[in-house]
Amino acid sequence: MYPIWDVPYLSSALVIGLIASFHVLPSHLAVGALWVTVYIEKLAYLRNRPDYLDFVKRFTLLLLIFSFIFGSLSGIGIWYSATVSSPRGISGLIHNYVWGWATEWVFFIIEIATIYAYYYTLGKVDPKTHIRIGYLYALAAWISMIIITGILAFMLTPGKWLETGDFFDGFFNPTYFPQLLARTFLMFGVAGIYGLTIASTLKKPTKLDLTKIISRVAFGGMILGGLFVIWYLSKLPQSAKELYTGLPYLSKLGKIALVCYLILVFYFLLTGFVIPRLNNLILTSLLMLLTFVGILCAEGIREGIRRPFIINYFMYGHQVIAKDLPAKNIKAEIEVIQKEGLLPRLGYLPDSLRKITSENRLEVGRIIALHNCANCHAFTEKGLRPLPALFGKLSPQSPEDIDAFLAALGSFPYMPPFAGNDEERKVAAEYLFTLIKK
Amino acid sequence: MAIGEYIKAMRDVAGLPSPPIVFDFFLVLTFTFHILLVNLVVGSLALIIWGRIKKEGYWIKLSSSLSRLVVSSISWAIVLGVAPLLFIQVIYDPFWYTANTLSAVWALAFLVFIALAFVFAYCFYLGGGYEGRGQIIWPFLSLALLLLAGIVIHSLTVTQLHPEKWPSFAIQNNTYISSGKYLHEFEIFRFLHFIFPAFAVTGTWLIFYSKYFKEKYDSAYLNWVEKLGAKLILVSSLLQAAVGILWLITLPKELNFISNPYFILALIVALLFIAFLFYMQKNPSQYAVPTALFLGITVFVMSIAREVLRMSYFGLVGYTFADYPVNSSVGSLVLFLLTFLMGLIVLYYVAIVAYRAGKGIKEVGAHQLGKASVTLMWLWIIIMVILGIYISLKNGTLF
Repeated sequence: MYPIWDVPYLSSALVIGLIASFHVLPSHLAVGALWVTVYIEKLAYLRNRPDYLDFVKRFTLLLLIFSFIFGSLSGIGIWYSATVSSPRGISGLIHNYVWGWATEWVFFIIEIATIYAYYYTLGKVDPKTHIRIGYLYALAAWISMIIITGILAFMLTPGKWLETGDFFDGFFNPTYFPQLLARTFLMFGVAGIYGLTIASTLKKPTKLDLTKIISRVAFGGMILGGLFVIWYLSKLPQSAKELYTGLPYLSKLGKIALVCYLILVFYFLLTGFVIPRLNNLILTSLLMLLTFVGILCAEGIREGIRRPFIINYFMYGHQVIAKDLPAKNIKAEIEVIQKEGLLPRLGYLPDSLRKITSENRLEVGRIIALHNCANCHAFTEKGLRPLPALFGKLSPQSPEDIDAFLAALGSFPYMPPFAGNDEERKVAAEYLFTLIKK
Repeated sequence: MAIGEYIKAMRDVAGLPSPPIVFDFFLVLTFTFHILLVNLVVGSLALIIWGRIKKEGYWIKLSSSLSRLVVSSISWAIVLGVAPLLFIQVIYDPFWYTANTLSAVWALAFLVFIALAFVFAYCFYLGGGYEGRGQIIWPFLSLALLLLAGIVIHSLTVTQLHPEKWPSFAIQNNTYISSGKYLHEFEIFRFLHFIFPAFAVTGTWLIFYSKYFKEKYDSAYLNWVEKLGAKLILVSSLLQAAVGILWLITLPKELNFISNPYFILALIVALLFIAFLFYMQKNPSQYAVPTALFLGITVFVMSIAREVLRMSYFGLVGYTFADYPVNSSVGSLVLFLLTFLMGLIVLYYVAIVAYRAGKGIKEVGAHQLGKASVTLMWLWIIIMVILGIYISLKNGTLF
């Protein structure tokens, strides 16, 4: 096991969650934006409307700054946060999908080359070439989504990979196509809200024209995306559906995401077909915030229904392998750790902390508890699923009560079994007992 | 458990999808491109700052051009950094993950520093930097943050090289430090060895700049740029050699790196490069292409030598990637290699467009290549969709 990182109030998994949710905004913008922009550029030439090109220039600059500073860095941020929060989880993904990511990297390079060429050569090269460059960008960005969706979907529904360990069996898993199609069309909604923001800053005739065009594209995308979300939901494994209905916070997230979706669709409907002049900077800014909230909730659900696993059915949230995978000579670890203990695997610690003594019981208990819980729980009084409050609710009278609870963890559908032997569980319970306010 | 056993036990259970040497090759290759771009950014920012301090005609003009170069180069540096970041995690995972988790806060701060540096570079560019105006504070902050990011990644790298120290890094007063708030290592000469080439790379770029804009700018200015570039490469390379010797002296004796053939090769190439730099000073733009090629080769050979040095460090604790178990995935490797080739074609087309547009040519041509690029991208999508549908049907997972 790697060293474990403890984040007060948030938990380390939430750090990934926040960065990942933020990343969806610039990354989906990056994927959807140029389909819209290239279309508007084409219209500019067809209708002889050079004023449309002003929109193209501004939108592309926004894309350059927002997607290629914050988008690319938050993308790497997901890797880095996963590296420090769940190193064995990200390592498991990378060791299976390294060539997938490397393939995606080729398209990142194409994206960078084409987006700068597109921005700097507007009006400087013939329209045909310029549109082609934009089109190449749009294709590269979409392909990067085609690739990353395979890995994202794999985490929830690894499918046949659990038997074969094969790259493509895991990549083209049961939720791959519905998720890809849902993301593909919903990205027009994300691009739409940015497009409307830029359009709202333009002069009137251009503003109204472009508001209508962008809203209609976004509206269509959102409707189709919504339909594919329904297909996606129908493909979820039974365990995920049960978790969704069983855990009230997930259902709440679902309701918030739905409300955000409906408000956005309604806005696109109004500005696209009824009153385009309604579109203004304040509303689009608010809707941008709403989009973020909606995405945060949707991604929260996607992560939540995978509990207690990082890679469904294969690796638990505390980074212990749950299941044999003979095709790759992988053996389950949980039973071995419960028998032999976790401490022998913590080679990054000095020997003084790798044997339980009367002097170090509490400290070793803290380390064992961190390895088991810190990924998803805050150890502080307040925060995300805070342990002091959660254990406080059980009103334990002694560390033995907590020990008994830890021993039974595996019987909860959303919790992994305790990783550690009896003695380690006991010292973890002793430490956790000290967290509870008397 | 000795630290060597721990490291071996921490290798990923899935093994590698291809032989480790394949990853190592791409690690070194892509790192070379990444560090070249990082150096270009650092050197350009330093020249922009110097230009703003000097406030003379030529310097103002040059810093304007560099302001545009910097923003796009940061993008390139970031995207080119993704690949080595990926490959290092594949073959050196126990080192990478341990060092990063021990300094978790810094590992994340690294990205914040880069993001802010990028924003400040844009503040300069959009705030008039391209028109010869712009506040000096922006490139200054940008450079400072990039150097800070460099210190962080350097520290994380050196932490990986000393696994024997990890247990002492992990605790303080017999208490495990779970906050990840400390950086643990810093080697000044190693760090400088990565930073000094900034001026050599930027100098090379300046020579190309003077050649490329021959018809656009006046020749006195371009001569000045060209000479400046040539001087920068030479001085920077001499400093690099000096700091390299100091780094070599401070390396652990047991590595015996001085007699390592890869080090000797790197030394010979570096000395030849320096000799060439003296030779090309009289007419730098005539030697623009050989200079760039020679620089690229030198940096590549240096990267190989550094990689061998890393292997030597890891060898001290008994680690070699050579015995990493392999669970071969030929299909995914083929997917990457074919995509890589396709990417080169598409990039070639974009490069032609950008090059000609920069020269002021409006009808850039190369339409056949452009059409082929689009077709290849669609073909990629079609093949993947067919493959996806076939596999999903075979596995009964489509409906």
